[in-house]
Amino acid sequence: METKLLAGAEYLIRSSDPDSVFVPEDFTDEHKQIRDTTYDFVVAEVFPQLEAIDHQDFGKVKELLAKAGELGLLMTDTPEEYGGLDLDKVTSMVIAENIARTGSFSVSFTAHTGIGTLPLVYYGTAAQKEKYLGKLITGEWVAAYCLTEPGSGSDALDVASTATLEGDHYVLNGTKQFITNGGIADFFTVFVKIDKEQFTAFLVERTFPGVTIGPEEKKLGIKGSSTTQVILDNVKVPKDNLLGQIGKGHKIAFNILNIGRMKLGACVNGAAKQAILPAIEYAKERKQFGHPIAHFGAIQQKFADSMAELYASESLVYRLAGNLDQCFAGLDKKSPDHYAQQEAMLADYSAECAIAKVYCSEMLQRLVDEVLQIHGGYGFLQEYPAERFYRDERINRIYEGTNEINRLLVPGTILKKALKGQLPLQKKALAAFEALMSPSLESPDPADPFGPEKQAVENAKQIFLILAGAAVQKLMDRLQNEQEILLCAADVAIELYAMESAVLRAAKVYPKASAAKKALYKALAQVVVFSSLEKLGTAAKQGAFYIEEGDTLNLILGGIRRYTKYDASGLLAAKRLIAKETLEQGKYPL
Amino acid sequence: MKILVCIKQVADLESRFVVPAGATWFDEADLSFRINEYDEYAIEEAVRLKESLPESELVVLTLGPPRAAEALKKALAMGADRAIHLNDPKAQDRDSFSVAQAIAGAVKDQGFDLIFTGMQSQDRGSGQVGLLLSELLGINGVSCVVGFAKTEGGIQVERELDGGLRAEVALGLPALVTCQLGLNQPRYPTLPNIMKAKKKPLETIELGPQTAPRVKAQGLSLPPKRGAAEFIEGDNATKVAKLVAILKEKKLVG
Repeated sequence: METKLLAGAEYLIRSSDPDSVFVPEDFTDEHKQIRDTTYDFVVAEVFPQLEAIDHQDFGKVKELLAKAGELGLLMTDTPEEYGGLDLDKVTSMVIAENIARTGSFSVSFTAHTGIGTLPLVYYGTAAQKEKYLGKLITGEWVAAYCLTEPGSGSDALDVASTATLEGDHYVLNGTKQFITNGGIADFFTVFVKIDKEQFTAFLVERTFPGVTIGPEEKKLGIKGSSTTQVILDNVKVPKDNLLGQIGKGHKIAFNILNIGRMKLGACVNGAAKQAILPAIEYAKERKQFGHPIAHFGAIQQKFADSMAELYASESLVYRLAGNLDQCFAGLDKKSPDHYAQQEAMLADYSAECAIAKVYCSEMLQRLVDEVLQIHGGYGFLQEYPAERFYRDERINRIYEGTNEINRLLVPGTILKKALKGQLPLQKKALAAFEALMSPSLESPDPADPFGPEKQAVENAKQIFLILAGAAVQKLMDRLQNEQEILLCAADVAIELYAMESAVLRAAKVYPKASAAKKALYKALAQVVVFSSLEKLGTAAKQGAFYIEEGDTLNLILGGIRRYTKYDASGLLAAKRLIAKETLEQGKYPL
Repeated sequence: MKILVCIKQVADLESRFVVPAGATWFDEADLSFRINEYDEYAIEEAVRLKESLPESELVVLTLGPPRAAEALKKALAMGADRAIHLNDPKAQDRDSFSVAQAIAGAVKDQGFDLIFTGMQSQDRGSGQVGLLLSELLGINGVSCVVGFAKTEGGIQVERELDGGLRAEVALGLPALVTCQLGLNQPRYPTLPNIMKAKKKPLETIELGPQTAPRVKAQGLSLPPKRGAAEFIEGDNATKVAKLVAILKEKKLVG
């Protein structure tokens, strides 16, 4: 095993040492204090206003953003020379996760600190930062990001909005759609095409004449966040407000989304931790057949599966954030192209960022569904919180790139890296095929408490290599248009990253854990591996049928069978243990 | 002015406590720890005083095992200038007198004008350490403070007495006050202050084992489980209706 830092997508072909990954159990005292401050702020200041916020009392939202600013919660990703703290990405995730307990408010918060502020941090000139960052990190101004248009969503670069140079101003025209914070923002990062060709970003103030805000959209969920159109009608924007380079707006749009996608993972984890609370409470109190329903296996299994997936989700996000922090730690913060270097590193991990977005948001999907189901008929009533969690969840699979777009990004990025020679995918795929011809030799290390799980992870990598190898060999250039096949490959890569992160975390923490915790980590790792392996096996099989036929198909299917073998003896006891710990602790049990 | 605040790190009260057979303290594995709630009020009051007096110094001190350093860091982030950790891995075995004695030994030559402590700890709850410390230092001490003001040459405090009575007390300095819940609203440390606290001095002093304890714990056990109580609210008619409904549901009346 190597300890060298894992490059983007390299997890597919290399095993990691558990000690090389960052896990939440590694939080420093500062991480913990920041977590506590955020949590205390949420409980003391935001929770009492949730009802008002959900009824679109945006005055409250702005007030709370300013309070968050006073505490320093808006300045963690901003350089010190502009009054920020410039902390690590793990800290950003800790904050995002805890703010996300507040539903709608967290959408405003994250849009402000993330896509609202980061384009300026990464691409702004010193003068632009000087002018605007101070107002944004105190919460005096609220920020929004305007990319989507009525006719341009997933195809984000195909915008109709335009800019034309007239003297020392650009004149902007167009309509931006689904703008989070639209109704409350003072500052917009707007993407348009200069002369209908050059995709470029501009910094636009709300008070610039010609900026109008559309009415609030009536939404299914996150009702307490502002979502409007932003209409630009001959808006004169000073040349100095052009962000980054002319024609390079796509870099801004996409790189900022990388961070946003990882952060969305952290957010849904926080939402999950909050959503499970009323379900636990209800299951303990609601009596049927003479027992609290928490007593029944049918209910316990829901808790066990949800918590195991949340565990994998959490392991994945912090592993990725820690990985990025390790990369960024090697950079010189004083270097003039510091952010360009960060940007390049982020781009390298865009597959992992997309994975975080997809895996975690779909974890929350299943979790809120179970939370509602545990409530039975009461879950369907607005009086109970399950209903709001259920509605608020839905958007996570749509914004920051739909899950379809993000899934396609995963194999897309991986194949691009392979083509550029950054990832020896073909060599490894060839070896995986050769291994199929030889008898099965893999057997877990009996001395390792996570031997079977680690073996399952390595086997899953073989499955990915076989599937990707078969797809490339058969379809070559046509592969990029075969979306159904790409989606299968994505599902294998996604489940693999999640289960590996879950196993690495358990293996890292295990030696120092108490006896009770040891049993819990083992149970969590086992449940995650069993379920992820089943899912990725199914996806791989589907992909195999899409790609191949005849003998090659049979060879691949045989490989999938061989590599999805996993001895999950004790699975039921593992699930019952997770459920018991969850119910006894009254929360996510880690 | 030199101000000292003495704090303790205690287990989160919402933890599931396990007492191993024959033990005189609970198993600390897998528990989370935090600053004793009373002490948070003490820190807040001390920080406010410090902020109102330029040229003053605020020191925070704890006696506890290595994990207690985390509590000191939070106090530093709330506004203390430096911290002293009297490190004793077996701190839980000490009685109140020995704790007060160790603190007195560490601070007696530092010339503190004012000392804040919590009224009691949430785990032991003896309520003795603060006042013992004032006795050992030979300074004024006043307990259960719910109001505090600095005056010309001294302090004026409000004490909570039995039956909801309040007493106003004026004291000269040096003095020690033990703080009751509700004295103020403790702040949560801001992120810039959390990061600044990393650079503030934290001195660790290793304590030798306690000699000749005056009080020795004989055993520790969880209280016997009691049934839950329900408080019925509303006007009389509602209360009666609810009561009847409950009695019927529990099949206590026909």
